[in-house]
Amino acid sequence: MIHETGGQLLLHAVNHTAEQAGIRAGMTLADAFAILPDLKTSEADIPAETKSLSRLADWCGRYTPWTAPDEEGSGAAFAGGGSIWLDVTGCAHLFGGEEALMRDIIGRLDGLGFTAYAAIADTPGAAWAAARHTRYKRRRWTSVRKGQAQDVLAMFPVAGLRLEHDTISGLQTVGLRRIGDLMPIPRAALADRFGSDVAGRLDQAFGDRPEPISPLAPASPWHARISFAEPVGRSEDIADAVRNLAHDLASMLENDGLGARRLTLTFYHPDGVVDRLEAGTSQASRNAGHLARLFTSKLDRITAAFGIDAITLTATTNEKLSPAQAALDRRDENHNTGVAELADRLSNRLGSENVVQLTLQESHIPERAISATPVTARPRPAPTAPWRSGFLPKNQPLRRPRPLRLLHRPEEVEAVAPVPDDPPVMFRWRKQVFRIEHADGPERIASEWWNDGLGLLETEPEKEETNAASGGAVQDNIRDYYRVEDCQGRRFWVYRDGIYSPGTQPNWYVHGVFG
Amino acid sequence: MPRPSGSARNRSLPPQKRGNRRTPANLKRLKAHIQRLEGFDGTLAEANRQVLPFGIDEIDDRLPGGGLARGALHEVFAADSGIATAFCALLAGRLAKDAENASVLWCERPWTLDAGALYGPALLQFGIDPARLILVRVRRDNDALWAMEEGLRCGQVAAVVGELDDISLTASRRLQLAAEETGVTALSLRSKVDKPPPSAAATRWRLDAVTREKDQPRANHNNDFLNTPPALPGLGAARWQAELFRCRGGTSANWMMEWNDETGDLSVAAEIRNRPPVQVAARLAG
Repeated sequence: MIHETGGQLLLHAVNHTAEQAGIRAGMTLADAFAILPDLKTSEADIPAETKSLSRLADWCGRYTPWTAPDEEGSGAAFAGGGSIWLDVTGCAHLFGGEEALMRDIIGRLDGLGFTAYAAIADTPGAAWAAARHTRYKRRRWTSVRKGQAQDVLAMFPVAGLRLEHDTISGLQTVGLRRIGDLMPIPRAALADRFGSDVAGRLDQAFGDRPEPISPLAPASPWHARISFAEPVGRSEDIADAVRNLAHDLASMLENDGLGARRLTLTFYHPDGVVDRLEAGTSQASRNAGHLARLFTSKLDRITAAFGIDAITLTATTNEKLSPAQAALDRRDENHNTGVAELADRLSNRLGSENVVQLTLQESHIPERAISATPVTARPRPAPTAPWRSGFLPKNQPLRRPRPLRLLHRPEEVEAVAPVPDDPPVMFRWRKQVFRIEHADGPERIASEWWNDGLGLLETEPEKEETNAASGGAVQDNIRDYYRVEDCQGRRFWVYRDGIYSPGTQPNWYVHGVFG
Repeated sequence: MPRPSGSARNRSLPPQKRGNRRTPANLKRLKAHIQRLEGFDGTLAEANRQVLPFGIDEIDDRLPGGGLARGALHEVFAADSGIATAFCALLAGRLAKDAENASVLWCERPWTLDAGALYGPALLQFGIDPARLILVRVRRDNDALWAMEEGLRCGQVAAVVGELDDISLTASRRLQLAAEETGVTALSLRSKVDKPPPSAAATRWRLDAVTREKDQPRANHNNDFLNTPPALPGLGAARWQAELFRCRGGTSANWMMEWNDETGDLSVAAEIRNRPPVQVAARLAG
């Protein structure tokens, strides 16, 4: 693999055969051809490499929630090859210890076609050096035991310090070949002579200076995982595993007095593919059964062609949820959580925009008097909360009748009104003729004086649509509504658009149906 | 040797074996037997056999148990979508009020029924607090059925209303069983069909508008514009023709209901010739 850097063609990565011939990543192409004239080369695709590295880091989420591709220390300048950070603090025992964990990673990466080396150490710097400069014999993993970092690192070449190519050659020209050679030199002197990089990297490798690395995905400490000895494919097994995960996660959340609002369920396929499912709750919950049910209807979206060999469940967003206590009014508490859980299940299957609650708005315009909010998007009202107080008396019938069903938009009708200011005696709507026998009205509804008609339309595109459909005759935005009943007893809400002015034909619309 | 004909089969029908005469005692026994078959005796828990009385004797007397069975599926066929919606809303509102303002789950079909969307401000007239309404908007019957069943099985809602296009006998039986299990009442609001397909619903209704008799003379238009009477008479209470065409444990019946949108009262309209001079509205129970 070659890559052009600063006008020079440098080797980006080399394969095992080339390496044995003495070709190293970072050489110029001309040098490489001098060593091995029949070298095969191809252009390196850096973005694709970065992408695949981060995909691999994602895949490593099966071992620990805390993974990151090594962006700083990868590429040509660092002797080729990308690396991935895994923080396995507290995870290794799940796989039978650090050795077993590394064996598992290397084995699986082999299966995916990657030749990888692994090292575990106390600091990222030491692990980086150990992974790249250990003389591997049979195994391709190593661990730097606690307290041995000094001795082990001392043997490695200075390249193990993640330094720029020029810095390394600078050190080598003065005879500093191994990391051990640098140790006795005062850091201040090193920094003066070779730049602050060398001293900094030394400190990082020995843990004298912290090295924060940001993980690929924000790692949540509320994380449950399950892995299978053999990949599972049966949907019943997967559903079962999800239930177990939910149970583990719920007990973790309970210990910390939290409830989950957003959850991610991640599936790791043996072929390195990672699938994710997301679910949300409208009320913080740590009910294992409920959390598991959020995903049950979505599980069929996961294709388990090769089976699944690990699943993790993470609570990405949490809220405080006080410990369950035996309330005096137990029934009411159950009731609220029961309904919230129902709303979650419905939203997760049908889409949260389709599971709504109606909220009254302070507007006289019928279309604007109500707005639908997804149940999961807003905090649930207190159990006794009625309509917004002050606007409507609680549970009092409306003084003004409103239709039970409001059409999505007013539909224009051909109407016959003998007197312009009277309700029509007949209209034709949806190819049917309705003869009006009874009528109440008019009720005049105008737009609020502070939203002067058209001014509002410019700021609210969806209202513009509504009004555009009503024939564009919205100059004055006054509607005279009538409640009419036809000869067969059907009741409609019709209106005449605008104030009648002599010489013009008023437009009539049907806007709703009464019970 | 010929076997005595029919003896083995008739053993499962005890009322017939005990005599064929139409004595009142026999009829009573037969009725009790049918009720037992239909689950209106002690075989199902009393709690699951509660009813919602209409509070109108004419109606309650015709319904088994004296009201609309709770924890059961009721189907309302809409000849007029507005009226059928109103009828469902009225029942759901009553159920919600009884359950201390528990939520109502309503599966709406705004895209398929083309009859507009449920309008919040009007629901209050029917006793449904829009803040306690979970409105589910679905496109397909299957989604509506699934959502209804989830709501019924949750058991924490007062009523589940679903606007359905066409459901199979199996689907209705599923709903009926889920309703029986938790005691939540299910209402299915269905578009008009000529011949309703079989269903496991406890009651089936057909709601239609009533052609009103011309009890008020049409006003004449005269030129005296200062004293012009309204061109058309006012509306008054809404009239619904409610036909109970299937009732498990009861008989079919037909009423003309009057619903007063100002007071929220439901009453049975008397025949015109029997109408008392001043109509006294029977209040809906509760």
